[in-house]
Amino acid sequence: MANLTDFYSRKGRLKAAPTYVTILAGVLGFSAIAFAQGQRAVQQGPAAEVPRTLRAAAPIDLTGTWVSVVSEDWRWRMMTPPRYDYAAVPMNAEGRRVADNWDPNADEAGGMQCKVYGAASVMRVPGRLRVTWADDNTLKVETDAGTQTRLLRYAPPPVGGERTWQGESRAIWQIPEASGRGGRGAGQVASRPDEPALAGRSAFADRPGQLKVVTTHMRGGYLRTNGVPYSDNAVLTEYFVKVTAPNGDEWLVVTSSVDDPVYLNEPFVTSTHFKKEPSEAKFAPTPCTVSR
Amino acid sequence: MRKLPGLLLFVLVLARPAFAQEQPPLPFETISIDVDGYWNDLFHEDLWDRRSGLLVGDFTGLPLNEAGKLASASWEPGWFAIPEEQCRPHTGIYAPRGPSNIHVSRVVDPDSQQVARYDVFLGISERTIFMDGRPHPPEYAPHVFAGFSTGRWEGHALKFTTTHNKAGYLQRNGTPHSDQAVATEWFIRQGDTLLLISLIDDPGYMSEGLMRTTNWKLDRTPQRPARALTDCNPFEVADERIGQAKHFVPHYLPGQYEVHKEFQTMFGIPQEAAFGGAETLYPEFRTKLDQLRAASLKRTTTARPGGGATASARADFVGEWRLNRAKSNFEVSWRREGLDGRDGGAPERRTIRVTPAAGGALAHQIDTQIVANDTGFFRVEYIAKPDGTDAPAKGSAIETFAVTRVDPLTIERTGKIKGAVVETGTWKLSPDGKTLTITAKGKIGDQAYSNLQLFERLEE
Repeated sequence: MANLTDFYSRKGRLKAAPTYVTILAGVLGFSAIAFAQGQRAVQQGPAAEVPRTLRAAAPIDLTGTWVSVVSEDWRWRMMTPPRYDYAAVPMNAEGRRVADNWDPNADEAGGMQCKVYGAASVMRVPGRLRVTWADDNTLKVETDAGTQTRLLRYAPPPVGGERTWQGESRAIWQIPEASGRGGRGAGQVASRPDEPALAGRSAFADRPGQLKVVTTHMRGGYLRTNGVPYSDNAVLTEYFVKVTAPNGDEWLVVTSSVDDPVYLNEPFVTSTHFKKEPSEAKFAPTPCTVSR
Repeated sequence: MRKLPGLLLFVLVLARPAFAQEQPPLPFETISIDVDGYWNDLFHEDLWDRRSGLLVGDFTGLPLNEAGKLASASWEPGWFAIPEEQCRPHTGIYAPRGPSNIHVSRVVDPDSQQVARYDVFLGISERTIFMDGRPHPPEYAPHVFAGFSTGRWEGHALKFTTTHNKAGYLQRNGTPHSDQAVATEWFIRQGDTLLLISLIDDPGYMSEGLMRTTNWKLDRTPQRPARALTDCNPFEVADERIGQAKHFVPHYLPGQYEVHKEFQTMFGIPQEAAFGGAETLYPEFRTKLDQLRAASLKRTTTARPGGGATASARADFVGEWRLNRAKSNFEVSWRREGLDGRDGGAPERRTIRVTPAAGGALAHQIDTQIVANDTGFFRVEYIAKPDGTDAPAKGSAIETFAVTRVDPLTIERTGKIKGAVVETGTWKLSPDGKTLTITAKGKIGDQAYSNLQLFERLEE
């Protein structure tokens, strides 16, 4: 059996071997780097494999039935605010011009009853959400107010065709980076394995994070029931988080940022909260209606 | 030598999966969760609560129990003027809701190099969140305005709990929280915004937890906020209520809700909803609210002389009128900017209320919100007979208004300062009584203006 000395002693190989060895070492080194980069995203994570689907990577369980608890902007959400009342919306002059000419009768006559139930505003409409997995890469959010369905997809189909009230939503989990330099004090990042529904099914069950959703290709609608507009060009960025109260109640909080250069001076940012219900018994779909 | 190319190919095949893992995007990404930094306040929700303040009697959106409703309704704005309360700091529960940029900074223990605490600077108050695992003080320990907070990281959220608060207010129109209130809160970074989720449990005044959210935007070029006064000395306490008996606490007694009805009337919100309560926070209440509003409207209509008459049948100036900005035109010789720098040449909102007064006079109450995102209304009031005599005005740079009836559908109004005419205008009622058109022009100092304002009668 030839040893390495024999191998390199044979005629002609001493010259060629370093070239191959160099290439080999380079390939091995590069592949090792690439593999390490693939693993970096889950550094210190408990899973041996990198999760490849939205469901497998879920760090929190958003499924269930959730009810709006309207403790903010009550007067603008539980009832239709008066015409011209646009308090807190950073509208530009064109936005105000359009809103000033809000005509609910025309909306109704034109079959536009769903203008306030589009993705950019439907979460602010008091009602219930039913959240389920449509498949391993699609989280389905149904609203009973207006009977709308949002599909939050890891890999949405290419944007094309007609714009819709709910647009196309691209979803990605945001996982906290591992605690690093200096730590973060008591209770470091991997500290809450309290998602029994995810145990054994998610790579990040013990690293609570949030779902980031970017929605485009929406049909223009209303941010508020009294005609505050958003345009076809609006882009909606959302973060879905979940917290658990001391009494065990689970809360879903959705932060929405509507960026619309046509009607807004700056992104319109609101956070809307929902409380989890024990069943979907109260989930009662109703059609879109025009408010007056 | 011939085996080397094969070996190389084999290695490449082995390496391919590692490369492949880099190609498609993963359904997750890692993020920084640090909340340290300077953050500017955002007021895109709960603007009225957090900026100029709410009207007396607006307790909408609060899960108040009966004690909470009584205590809230007893609050009178003069409460802030009594000497004992003039220098009162905000409590830790209220502080993040006030209009303030914030600065969050970590303090690291030099020995362990672990974060010992977070300091949250809120302009006029501070909060400390201990991260070193220390327990909360015993129940009998003194309560302080900021309360006592301990925290820990849960994934991407800095969760902290605050106990030992002094009694205080949840919002600036008097809604109280007791000294038994406990706040459970979460700071979460979301891109360039900071989210604070606050859950306030207060069995003294609320029948269920109050959930609220507050947002700030990252300030990349921070100007360190100046420290505002957090207290003052006895010489800065003024006698703001001249002649008031010492230690008198302004208040409304139970049932004395005339002032509260102003909010209810202005926005058409019945007291059952205006005074809050857990029931009013859930979607089912919308149906009940519609019924309550319809019943309230019916009561109001039938109570009017000639009850049941619709507004459209009226052809006098008495009633409530709202400006239709889209059909109005305002010209001003100066640029009036809103808080966000936008043009405020046309008022954001204006309503006129005309009611009969003694001796054939008409009482005028004109409320104006100058620009969007400014919750401050100003009110002009005067009571004038339609005979051209000057009537003193409150709340206006113009000192007197004289009203002259030209015909049943027209009046002329003249405004004066120190006896000199500075504004003239004509109020014209449409024959069906539905619209009121006002044309006016004036000059005060070097500021000239003219406008055509179209008002629509509000249904009563």
